[in-house]
Amino acid sequence: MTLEIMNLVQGYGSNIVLDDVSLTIPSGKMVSVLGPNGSGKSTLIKTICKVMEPKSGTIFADGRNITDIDGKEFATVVGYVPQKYIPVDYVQVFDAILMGRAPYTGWSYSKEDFRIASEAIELMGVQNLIEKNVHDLSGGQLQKVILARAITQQPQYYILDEPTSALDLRNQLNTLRTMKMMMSSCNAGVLVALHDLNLAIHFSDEVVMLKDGHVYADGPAEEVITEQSIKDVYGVDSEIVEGRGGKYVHICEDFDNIQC
Amino acid sequence: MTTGPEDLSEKLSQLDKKSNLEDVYERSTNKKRAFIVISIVLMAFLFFLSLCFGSVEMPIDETLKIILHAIYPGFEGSDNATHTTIVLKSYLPKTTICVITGMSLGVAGAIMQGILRNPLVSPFTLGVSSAASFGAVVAIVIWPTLFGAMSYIYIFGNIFYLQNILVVILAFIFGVGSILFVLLLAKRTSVSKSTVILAGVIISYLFQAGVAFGKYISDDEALREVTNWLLGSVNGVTISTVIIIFPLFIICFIAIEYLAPKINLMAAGDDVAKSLGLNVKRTRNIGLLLATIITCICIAFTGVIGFIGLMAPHITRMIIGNDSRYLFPASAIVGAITLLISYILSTTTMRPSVLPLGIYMYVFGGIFFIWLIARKKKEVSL
Repeated sequence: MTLEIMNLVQGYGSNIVLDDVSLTIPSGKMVSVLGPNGSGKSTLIKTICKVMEPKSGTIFADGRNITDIDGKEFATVVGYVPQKYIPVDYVQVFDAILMGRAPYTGWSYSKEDFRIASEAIELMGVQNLIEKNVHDLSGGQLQKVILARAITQQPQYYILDEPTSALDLRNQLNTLRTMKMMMSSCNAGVLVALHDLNLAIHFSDEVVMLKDGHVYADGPAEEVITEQSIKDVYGVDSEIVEGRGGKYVHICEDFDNIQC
Repeated sequence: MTTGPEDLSEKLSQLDKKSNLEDVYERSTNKKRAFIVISIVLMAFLFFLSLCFGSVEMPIDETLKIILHAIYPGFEGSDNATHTTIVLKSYLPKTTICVITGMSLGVAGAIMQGILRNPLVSPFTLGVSSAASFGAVVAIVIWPTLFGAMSYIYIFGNIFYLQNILVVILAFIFGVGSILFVLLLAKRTSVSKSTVILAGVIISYLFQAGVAFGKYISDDEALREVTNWLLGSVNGVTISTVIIIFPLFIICFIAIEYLAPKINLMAAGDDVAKSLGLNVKRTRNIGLLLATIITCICIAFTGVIGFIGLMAPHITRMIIGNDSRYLFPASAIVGAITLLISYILSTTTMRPSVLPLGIYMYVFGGIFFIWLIARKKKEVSL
């Protein structure tokens, strides 16, 4: 089972951001999308999650064109975890997490809904937060709650837009570990936009590098993330080093002078 | 894999986790339901009080007798026929309209604040009150020039002044028309909430200019009528008003409550709501339209009564949270309570005259805002 993006062209007005982008997200695998700011990662994610309609190209979820799948059903296929989330006041965490069951419920929640939400809460370790106001959470706590909601939604594919950007080191690792667990236990496919190359190396099964709206490279992390590709896509000199924990990207730049 | 504090997770894992979430949810739901029940009792009490304290002084037990006799004809009523007529034909419709208007404005404010994700939005933010006012002004100012001779007709044995009918019709048409115009503007491009609010503000100013012009060219009598209408009051209300408003109110209210779960989703943000299966644009348009209709139904008859749509949802949300399924009815009842209090004050403080409700609402509104700013413990995103 796969989520296939084929020949996607997307942009804002006359400004084309993605030009003929194709990639595949298989079930049970994690695909990372890398690229500099403005390379189209968020745009790609928004298009996949039907927040935006593509200018051209098609997206197939398990062989079905996603434009043929209606809203509620699509929410059971694709789960969107946004980059920025500004919560409304006076909403409690448990309510925010239960919202993930929206595609499955109408007016009120069933025992099954509560069970699934409870499991997600336990998985993300936010039991002691559930009665708090979402507004009062720290960045890391909020990120965990949003993930818990996505897990509650039980989609076949998780699409995460830079879920680790605002998190500390340990939370970054735990977020991606949780995603890997969802992949193995539910056979979910994961697409995650990342800035951190090392996280991409360690967690992804596959890496897609975007440059100027095109796919620069696509394949296993070790093959795609090379000193050459980092130079071409990010314009940064680096050295890939074999350390105790595996391969790491070291930055080999002059840290004093600004370079454009 | 544990990411939370180690021993706390352990303690919690000893409890039945399924019931922990359900427990929390049930407790929260019960609290909300209790609030609604208590508010309804308070509203009923104020309803009765407002029947007792009209501009004509009468003892409370007499009012009680009149009401009980009306419900159970077997029960002994009052011997004073004038009082009976006053209570049943004059006070009862007025307080009923107070309740309906308070509920309408309360729920309209609640759904608009939910849709626009802004706790400072009211049914009048998008220009509805200015537009309706303009409609009323047109009716009051233009009427004498157009239809000088015909001034009233009889329907079902009740006298209707045609000018009043025209005021109601035009206020409603302009009010609902303004929101349709805003939604049409918003349809052309994918606009953000701030653009919608901005469009409403612009419309508001345009219509206010129209109202100012109308005031300028009108004679003294018309001017006085316009001023009275703009201040809002239930003085002109009769049983026929109730008969017209009530069914429309019930339909709109049920429709708004039906949208409640969708508005809950919208609280998570447009993008997330969309990805959870909601048609955000359609929900927004229908919600705003319903809010406007339920508002205009009332203010077409009562004139502009401000602040309830802003205050009632705001206060209610602070007490029972943002779950629209409970916030909508609770906000409606709080709105009714607020308006009943204003009405009681308006009939009792300057006996025997009755000041327009709007004046008291402005005072309440001012006090509310002072209190809101004073309690600013944490950063409130306005």
